Amino acid sequence: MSERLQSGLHLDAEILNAFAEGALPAYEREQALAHLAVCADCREIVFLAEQAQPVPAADTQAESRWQRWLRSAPMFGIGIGAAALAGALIFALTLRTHRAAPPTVAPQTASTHLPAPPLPPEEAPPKVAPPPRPLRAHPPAVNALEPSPLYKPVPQPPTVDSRSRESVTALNGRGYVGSGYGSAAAPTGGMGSGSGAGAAAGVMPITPTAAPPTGAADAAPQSVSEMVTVTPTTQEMTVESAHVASALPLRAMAKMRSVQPALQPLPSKLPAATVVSSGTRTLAADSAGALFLSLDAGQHWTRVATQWKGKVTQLRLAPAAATQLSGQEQLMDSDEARASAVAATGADAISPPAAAPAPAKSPTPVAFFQLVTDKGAVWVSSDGLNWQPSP
Amino acid sequence: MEKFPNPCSWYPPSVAAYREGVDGIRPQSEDLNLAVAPQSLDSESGLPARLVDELWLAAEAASMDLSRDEFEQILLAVGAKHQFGLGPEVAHSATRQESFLRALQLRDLALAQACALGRDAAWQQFIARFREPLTQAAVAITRSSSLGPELADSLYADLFGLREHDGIRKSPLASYSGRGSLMGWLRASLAQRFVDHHRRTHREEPLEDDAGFAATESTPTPPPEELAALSRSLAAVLEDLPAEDRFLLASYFLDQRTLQQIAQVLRVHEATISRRLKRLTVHLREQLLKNLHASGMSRRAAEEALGTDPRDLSVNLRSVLQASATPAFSLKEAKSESR
Repeated sequence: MSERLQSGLHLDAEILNAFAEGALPAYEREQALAHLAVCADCREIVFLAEQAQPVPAADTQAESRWQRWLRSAPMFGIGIGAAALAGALIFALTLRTHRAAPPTVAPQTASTHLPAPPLPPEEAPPKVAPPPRPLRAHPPAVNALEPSPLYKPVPQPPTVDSRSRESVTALNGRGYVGSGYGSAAAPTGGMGSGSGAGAAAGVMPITPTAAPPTGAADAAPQSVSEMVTVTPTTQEMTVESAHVASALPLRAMAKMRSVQPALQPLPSKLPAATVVSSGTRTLAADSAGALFLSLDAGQHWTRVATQWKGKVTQLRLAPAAATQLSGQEQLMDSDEARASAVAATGADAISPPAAAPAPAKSPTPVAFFQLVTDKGAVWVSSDGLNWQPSP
Repeated sequence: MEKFPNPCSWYPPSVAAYREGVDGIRPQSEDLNLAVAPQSLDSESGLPARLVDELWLAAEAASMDLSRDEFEQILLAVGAKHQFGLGPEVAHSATRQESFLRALQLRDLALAQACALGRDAAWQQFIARFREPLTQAAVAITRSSSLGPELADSLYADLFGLREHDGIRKSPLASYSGRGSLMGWLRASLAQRFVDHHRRTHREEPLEDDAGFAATESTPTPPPEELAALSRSLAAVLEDLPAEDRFLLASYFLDQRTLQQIAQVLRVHEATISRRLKRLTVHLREQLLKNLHASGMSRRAAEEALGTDPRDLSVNLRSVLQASATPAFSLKEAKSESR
């Protein structure tokens, strides 16, 4: 043991304290331990000094640990808060989307229609945040959406179209979702991308802040087909809607909304794969291919007896259905008539109601509905109950 | 019981009273036998000015009326005293010196040395920081609310430099070099004084009167020749043990410290101490049996000498160590005496 370690016969307070606090270098600690092993007095001093050390309270110690931890990682705490906020927002958005979305909507054809959602007009539509996709052509939809030859559109001055666009834009800005979940942005998007009758079809995200219309509206009512992709949290729903008039007046759209209540679940408890409606008469095929008919706009359903082979994969309105509107044209003013006609040929349900008398001149029932089976067979029906193969 | 000397009561302390009372004999800094005495420094060795400035600011030495040059001298003296934390044969690099100095308790070091130099500002800080903790520590060490303040007063008088040694006032604070905390140093000084005082006042009393060792008296001891062989074997085995193991054995078997107390001193977990003790006793028993057998004792006789049960070995070991080592100071003695 070096002289430095000894103060007389014992270690001095400096070394004893440094030993107790672990501040001695290794070689000096060995020397101190060697002395402590044989010196009871110095051991006693070490233990006495150790026992005199105040012991902090457990709560205070735990609190100080948390404080030290938070102090050491302030950004981590902020990150936790931000993550919690983001999680709450995502959860709220998911819940809202889930409530607004139908149980399952399978991809539908261009002529497939969805009833209006139960959301009130003033409620904001669910925000879906997929990046905007470029519009893509959809030739079959364009073909199916051609205006009826019986409907003679009257050329309208540009001011009318401009007013209509503004109305639709304003309505959409308040959160109106249109006739289907996929058509929320259809008026603006369709108009923005449409350059002629049935010229534009594409895919675009649902967003209340869709791009304002940029293209000049034509005088004639135009129909477009849009593929709108809705992306909820669990599944991707692709809805291909709907013929939307480029110059759909606000009054007509409000009426369309009013006659489109929410669909009740199908008796099969399966999700509707495709839905088509004409007035209050609505047809729906579930995911198993069974067909159901509702005479009260989807409130009550009746299963239609299978008269075809295979499963129903597609429902659509027959082009001839539009011809039935001719008798109604005199009953409406020009705006409403145009809106109804366009809707009847496409998106929404303002078509000749079920109670409307059929044209007397027609010797055979007009085929309002068409269904396509999984084997490709096409069947037609005028009432949705009695079907016959398409000639 | 003899009271602790209390030449200066510092409850409540008053710096003004201190100044009035000690101004007449207040030593000059050169009179104090400080570790930082300038003559003890190597004039050739110096510290980088940047480092000194940084450490001086970190120590808040200016608030203790300690100049930068004084603080540099203190740092140099501490480094020379402890060889910058290296062994005597190891060369001191500048990096090593800097790391050693940075590891010091700079603020405590400046405070202690400034107090040793008699700076009023430093004493004000010292009293503000350590008055109550020192008394509490003294009460904890003595386990007496009456002896504790007396012990604290006695230490404070020495720290204050009221006592002269060979005509020179010395403050024990000058020996503090900042390797541990100043509060820890004060606790160790208190414990040292308490043990010294107890030894001084109980030097003549036999240990047999102490109740703490009564149990060892009833322990059956082996015959003298076996005990002598056992003592020789035990001394040989203990010499081969590392210092920490010997400290562990002495603390546990001689001082009867608890595992928790030993663990706190050695800064390891209590379970670690338990495992090491168990391993040590087994090792000791094997080595003792081996040595006894090598010394001519039959294995059976050696086992009988130790006892077949390991717990008997511990009792025997304690008895042997008790007879061969310095008797451990027992707090029970002090407590019984203080009553």
